[in-house]
Amino acid sequence: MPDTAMTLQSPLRLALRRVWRQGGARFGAAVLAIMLFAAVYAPFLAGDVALVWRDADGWRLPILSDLFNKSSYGKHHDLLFNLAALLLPVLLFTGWLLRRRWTLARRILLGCLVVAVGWGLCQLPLLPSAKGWSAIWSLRGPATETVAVATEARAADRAVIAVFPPVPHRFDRPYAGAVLRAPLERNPVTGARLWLGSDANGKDVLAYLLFGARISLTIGLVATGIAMVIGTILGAISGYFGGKTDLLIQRVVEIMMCFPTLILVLSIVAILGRDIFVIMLVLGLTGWAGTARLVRGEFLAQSVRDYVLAAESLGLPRWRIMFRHILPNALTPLLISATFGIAGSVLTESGLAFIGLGDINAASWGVLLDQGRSFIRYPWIIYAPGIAVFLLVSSLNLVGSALSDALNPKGAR
Amino acid sequence: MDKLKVALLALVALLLVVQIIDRSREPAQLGALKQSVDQLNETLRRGVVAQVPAGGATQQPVAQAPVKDPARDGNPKLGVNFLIPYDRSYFRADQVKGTLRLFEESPKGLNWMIENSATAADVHGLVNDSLCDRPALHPEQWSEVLATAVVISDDYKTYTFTIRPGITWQVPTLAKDMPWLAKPVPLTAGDFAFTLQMIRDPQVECPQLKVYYEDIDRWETPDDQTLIVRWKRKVYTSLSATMGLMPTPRHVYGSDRDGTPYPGEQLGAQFNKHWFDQARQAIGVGNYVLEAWEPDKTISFRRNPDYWGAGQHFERIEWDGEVKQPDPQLVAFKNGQAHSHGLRPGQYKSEILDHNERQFAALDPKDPKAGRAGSLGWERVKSIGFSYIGWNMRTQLFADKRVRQAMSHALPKQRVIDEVFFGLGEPILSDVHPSSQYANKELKAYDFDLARARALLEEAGWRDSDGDGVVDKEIAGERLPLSFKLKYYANSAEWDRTLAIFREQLRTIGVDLQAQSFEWKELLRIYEERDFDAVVGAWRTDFDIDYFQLWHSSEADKPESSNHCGFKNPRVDQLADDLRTTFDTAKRVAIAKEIQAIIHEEQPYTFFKASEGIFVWQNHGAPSPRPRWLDGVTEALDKLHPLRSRSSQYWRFKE
Repeated sequence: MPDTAMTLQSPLRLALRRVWRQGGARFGAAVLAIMLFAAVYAPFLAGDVALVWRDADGWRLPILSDLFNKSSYGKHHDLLFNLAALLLPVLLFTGWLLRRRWTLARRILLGCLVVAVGWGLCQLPLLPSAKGWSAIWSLRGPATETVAVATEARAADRAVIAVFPPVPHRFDRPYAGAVLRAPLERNPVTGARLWLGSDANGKDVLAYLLFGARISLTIGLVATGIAMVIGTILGAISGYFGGKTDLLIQRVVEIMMCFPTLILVLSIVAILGRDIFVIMLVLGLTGWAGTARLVRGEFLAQSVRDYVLAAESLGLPRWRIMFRHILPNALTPLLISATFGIAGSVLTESGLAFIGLGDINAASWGVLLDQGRSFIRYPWIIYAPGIAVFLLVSSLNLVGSALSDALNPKGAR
Repeated sequence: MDKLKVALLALVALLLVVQIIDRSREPAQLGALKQSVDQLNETLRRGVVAQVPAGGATQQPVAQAPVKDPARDGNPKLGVNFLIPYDRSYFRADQVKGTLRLFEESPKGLNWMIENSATAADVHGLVNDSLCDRPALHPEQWSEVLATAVVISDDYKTYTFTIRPGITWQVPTLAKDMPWLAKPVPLTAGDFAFTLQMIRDPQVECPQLKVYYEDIDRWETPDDQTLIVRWKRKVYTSLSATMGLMPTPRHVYGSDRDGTPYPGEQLGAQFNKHWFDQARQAIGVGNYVLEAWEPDKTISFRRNPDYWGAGQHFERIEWDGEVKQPDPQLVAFKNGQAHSHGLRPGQYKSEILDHNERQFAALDPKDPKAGRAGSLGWERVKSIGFSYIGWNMRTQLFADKRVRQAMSHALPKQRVIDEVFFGLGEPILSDVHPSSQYANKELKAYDFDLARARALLEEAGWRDSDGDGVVDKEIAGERLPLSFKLKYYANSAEWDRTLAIFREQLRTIGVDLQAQSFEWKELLRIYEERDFDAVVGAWRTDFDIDYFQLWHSSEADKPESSNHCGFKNPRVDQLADDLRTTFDTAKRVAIAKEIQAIIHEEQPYTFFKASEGIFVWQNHGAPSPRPRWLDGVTEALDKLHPLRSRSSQYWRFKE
């Protein structure tokens, strides 16, 4: 019997409470939180631009400008994460202030919205500059407050105070003479330790992994997001209208399901090129069939419920019934399948990269795994990203199955 | 139950003891074996040293020429037979034994004219012989093979060959079912004429060969042992095209299944999809007979008992096409599934530089021959060919030679060779292999120098005017940033890494390089349609140099030609034309050096490196004795021309 005090709380809060009771889910959530933190704060953890710098010209925070330098962080998802890194403390504080007025879901949505709007604003020409208006996120010359400059200045006996990230290596820089160094060896260029060794390019594996977390999380969220949207719309239409529409859409779903996904993805990537965003798009566009079926089933069951009949007899428009009334009731299984979907996308991307179809310009874990395959005698190249993929995927699965237990009304304890 | 466990444990213990005793006996056996092998190696080495004078193999006179005729030095000249006599000196009939196993890609078909594949050509290299050959010792010269003499006359336009008498065609395995194939057929001049006839036949699909033979005027066979080939004009490429001609069995390819000759007009059409090729057969007059070919699995050859010449010391040769990927191939090689093989740069790093495989001897920086000591031998070998980054001179970015020179100054060749290719490769300055007589040694390298590169860009008007970190220049009223896409082949991890390093260097001088990789077919289209700013490429070159195909202006505007960077220089055009009609070696060398100097100044390519590889083979037995290992490999490495040192003529088995 549910506690009377608890019935006053929102269902989401209740479900989260049930999820939290499971040890596996706690572990998964902790790992996910750490990875999310690492992904968001990667430039503060690994990079060769100083966090704080003081020389004859006074104090500076070079990292802040570098976060919006397109030649340092040129990919769209990097900008998103950099922005999130700056906004996260503010958002958390605001969320805490609003804790009594707004629901958790609403506050999370607000946070996402703020970051998304900021992301758009950063790309618009808003700043006045020598050559007209320019965007905040634009190409600038490389930062001058780097490890190399600091070392040089110290050698020349100039007073420089500089605080660097704990891993003073850029994730995409091949350091001269640092090829295939074992973990804990030092980088001959900077003299700093390579905690997880270096790869065959002379890149720091730890820095690479931190930025790889960004790619993996983006792939998971974007690919699953695309699949969810397509799957939900098609599933909703199919389940709500039934009849010939249902027949047609279900045949399309079956055709999609019959395709061996990996081979389909392989051929599309081979044609469109190995861009990480192409890969996300392809994974999203090919992965919606399962969701469509799931949503269709829920809609079939819900569309004969009394509240739907009531809404229909009130003459509400169909889209409103479908997406405002039925969908929230069908969201539970969708949420669970999304969790597994993210894990699946991460795994597929790693698989693609492993067989040599990854985007070598992106710091993807799979690309590192692929390299490890040809350098099998240098095991850190394969263990480091392998364990990272394993941790991310299994945490997602742990959280997913806990959610599934918690949200299943029959399993409610 | 417990008794059973105890019994099992006891059994295991017993087995262990037996194993240990067996192991302890091994060193003694091995020691004896090693001693005898070392002795053998020592004698061999002394023998080799005695034969090779100081100064290396290239200056050595031809060993044991049976006919001492000063004209027969292998260098083409008019009016006399200049062929080096056929060399049998290396061959020891009593040493012929065993099956040589190698990894080789499975070909699509075996007809070397139609297939245009390296493996099909290799099959015919074993099965068939050519009129003349380039000796492995001096690849720039010619020796007799099926032709015992050649006389060039009429200002290098007419070639008269005397064909070796008494040679018969091999009998194909198909002859069991087709009795008409079983009778011996002698090799005649007509078989060479038939090859020419097929190449020239417009119906036969061999465009890659036709270009070399388009200037042929006619050929005659006054008798069975004489072949006369006449060319329309004096052109240097006619030399290797004529001298390297292989015979084609007219009696097979000119007939249908029953042995009935095809009418003349059908010959060409039938040749493209001939029943003999479809029955997976190939015959010739060479050292080996094709025994069986299972596509994607194996091709096996058996020694031709009626072979007229010397050939190799193996009873059989087997090519394994089943193990395809480099890593499984290495494992299979170590297990003895192949007798020789080649290592990738990454494998070289792992197996030899980091010495993860004890069967290979460790690297000794002082001794380049240290790899010969291990039970698996290894040695660094050169191969002909080079790689480069080509700049599209038609684009506004790379039209100025100072920009191209700046790019060359920004590529740290030695660092890339050391860190990406782990030292395999030789930096080059031109398209001629450094060991070739044609190489211009006086060219001054564009050293890695970012300051110089930046200065050159500034001189050419490229400055960062808007502070975006990328230099720009106003061209035709438009501000153009020096940002370009470099296209390259997708499945090359080494180039992925090379370009990552190059991009990093260029970034510091304000040049934005974006590397884009493509599948091979797409890359071919990019070359042909000149759809690039910059592109990575590689050429396999020849011992005869020719500057027409790559650098002549007439090729620059032709679609699909090899001058994809659009190089145009009137002086080079004139020199390239001269080179094609010059047969005198000294004059050719002078012309080639001048061309290289001009190309070096213009830098249409940033020449990167000449290929080098790690050649590995089953060496002597210690410490783990193997039933058979290769002998004579080191002899070949020492004696032969560096680019031909993997030639297997000296190889034989030791037990």
